[in-house]
Amino acid sequence: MSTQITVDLEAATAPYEQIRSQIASLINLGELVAGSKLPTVRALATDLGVAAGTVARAYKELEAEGLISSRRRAGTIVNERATPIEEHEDLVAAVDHLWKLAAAQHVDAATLKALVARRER
Amino acid sequence: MYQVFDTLKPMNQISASALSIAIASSVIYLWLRSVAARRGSSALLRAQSHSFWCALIAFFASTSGDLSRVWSIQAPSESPTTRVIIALGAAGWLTLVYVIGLFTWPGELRSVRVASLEPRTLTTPFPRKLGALVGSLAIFACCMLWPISRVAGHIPEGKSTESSAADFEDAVAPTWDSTSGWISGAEVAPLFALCIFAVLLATAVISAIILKRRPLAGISATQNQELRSIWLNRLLRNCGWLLTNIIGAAITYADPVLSSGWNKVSMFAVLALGFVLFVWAPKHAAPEANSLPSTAFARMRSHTLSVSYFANTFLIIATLIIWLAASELVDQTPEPFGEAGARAVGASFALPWSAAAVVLYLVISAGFALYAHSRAKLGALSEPKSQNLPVWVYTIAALFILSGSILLYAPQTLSPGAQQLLSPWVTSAIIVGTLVAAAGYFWWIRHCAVPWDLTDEQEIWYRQILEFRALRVLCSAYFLLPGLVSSDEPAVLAIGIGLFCIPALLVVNRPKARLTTSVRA
Repeated sequence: MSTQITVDLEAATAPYEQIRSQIASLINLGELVAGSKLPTVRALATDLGVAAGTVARAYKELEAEGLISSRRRAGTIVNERATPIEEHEDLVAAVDHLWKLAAAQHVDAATLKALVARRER
Repeated sequence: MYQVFDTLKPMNQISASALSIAIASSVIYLWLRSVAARRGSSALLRAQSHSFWCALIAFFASTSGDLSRVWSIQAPSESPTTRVIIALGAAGWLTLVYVIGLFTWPGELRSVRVASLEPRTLTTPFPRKLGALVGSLAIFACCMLWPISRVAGHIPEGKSTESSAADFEDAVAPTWDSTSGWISGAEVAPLFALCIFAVLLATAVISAIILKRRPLAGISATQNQELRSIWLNRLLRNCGWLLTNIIGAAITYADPVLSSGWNKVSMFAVLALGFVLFVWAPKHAAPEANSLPSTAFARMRSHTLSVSYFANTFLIIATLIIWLAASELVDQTPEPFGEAGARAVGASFALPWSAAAVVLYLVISAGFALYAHSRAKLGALSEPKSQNLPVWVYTIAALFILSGSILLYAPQTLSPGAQQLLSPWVTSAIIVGTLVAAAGYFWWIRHCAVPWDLTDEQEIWYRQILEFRALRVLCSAYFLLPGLVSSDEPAVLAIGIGLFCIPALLVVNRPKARLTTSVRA
């Protein structure tokens, strides 16, 4: 289980969005379980070498989405998800199918990811 | 008038110390910066190397002080300010070196940065068992304050004389005979408490900084975490050594109130603890799974490092044991023989055995080369590639060996009035024996086969590095042997230790690694 995030300062996506989307993915995939504690804004900003405001904005948006909640004493905590992503059986089956197709046609994971990312635009 | 000079003297000492610290800090800074910015190696290797050098410098700098100056009454007597500075010295050097280390950390930043989402706690990378040992040492050091506080002061029984030195600073300075006294425990105990507290505070502050510091961007979050553990391990070992030193000094000082066996037991206990701390090495951060495969050069380098580690550890332990046994012999020598007789007994034991330890060092090192030779198979058939070290290295080594030999034959050249402690035959046997062993070793190192698929440049480097290390030990031994018997000349010992610590990279340039896997290796 990897709970690491990366920020590419030269990417087109804003750093706060990169942080937000990666944390959201980790929560949705269950790699960050409900109740687990996230690092403080300042600590994560120091580790990533970005401004504290960048991390604060990412946390604020995650909080607005209901994925995390900030408490004065407990810090920033991951919320309980109503339906974990693994329970969306159709979606998981579709991803499995896609993965098998990609393997059969020798398409690597990075290309597959780029294809999915295109749908976002 | 002289009182004015007496009050000025501590000020002069402080400004001289400040200048020395400034120069030492600049040298440490430049060295650590050069280690961190070395080209051609990965960020992880540079970070590990930087951490190692930082810990090594901190060890030498913080343990170099003489705590006995805190309590001894010498001429001119130390002022209270100087005593406080001496008590704070160890913690001060520890902090200074680690703070310099923080400013020279290889802090390269890439556009892509990685961070772990696991909250960083103070306990995660903390080496708990080592921490428990250091904590126990700290408690024991604190417990020693009680016997220290019960020691009564002692004024030396020597006669006070007045000297008329030309230098006004030393004018009419009373000089005492060799039997120096000590100040009372009521005054020394707060200084010891200050020393212990300062070392613990410095360790706590540096630990917090290590745990909270910004990670290195060139390596993964896991490796960063492991590096923090390595830093903490070395810091705690340094702290442990300092506390062991303090405990040793406290037992020496509190000797009048402790039973007679304490001093002897503490000497062995301090050595044993020092050894335990020496071998309590940290787990090195492993490279990423997808990183470059291990090369033949990397395996060869790992072999040379193992040779160095085992042979040097053997030599250090053997030297300590010989030194302890010689001290015991000197103590047991009956009084009618006098000081010179006791020293002759010690020397006649220590010198031949120390020379034997040097020869054994060469044998161990040659044994490793023999093991590599036996595994070479195909390599044994090819012509060994070797090259001499630069001529200036041999020239300087010859000068050191010649000087050391003269000191062994004629100690009066070093300190007038010193007597020849060993017969010329034994001295000749020591010199010829070590030189013949070294010559044999050099021949073997140049002719043995290597089991790795190396380039010519790398094979030459392998042989040169082993040759240089042996030459370094030999030169060091030629100064340490006369230094061990003439204890009045610490400069000779310092040169010997300095020669032992010369890094090989100053002489032999490391070849570039070739990315290849060997069928033979």
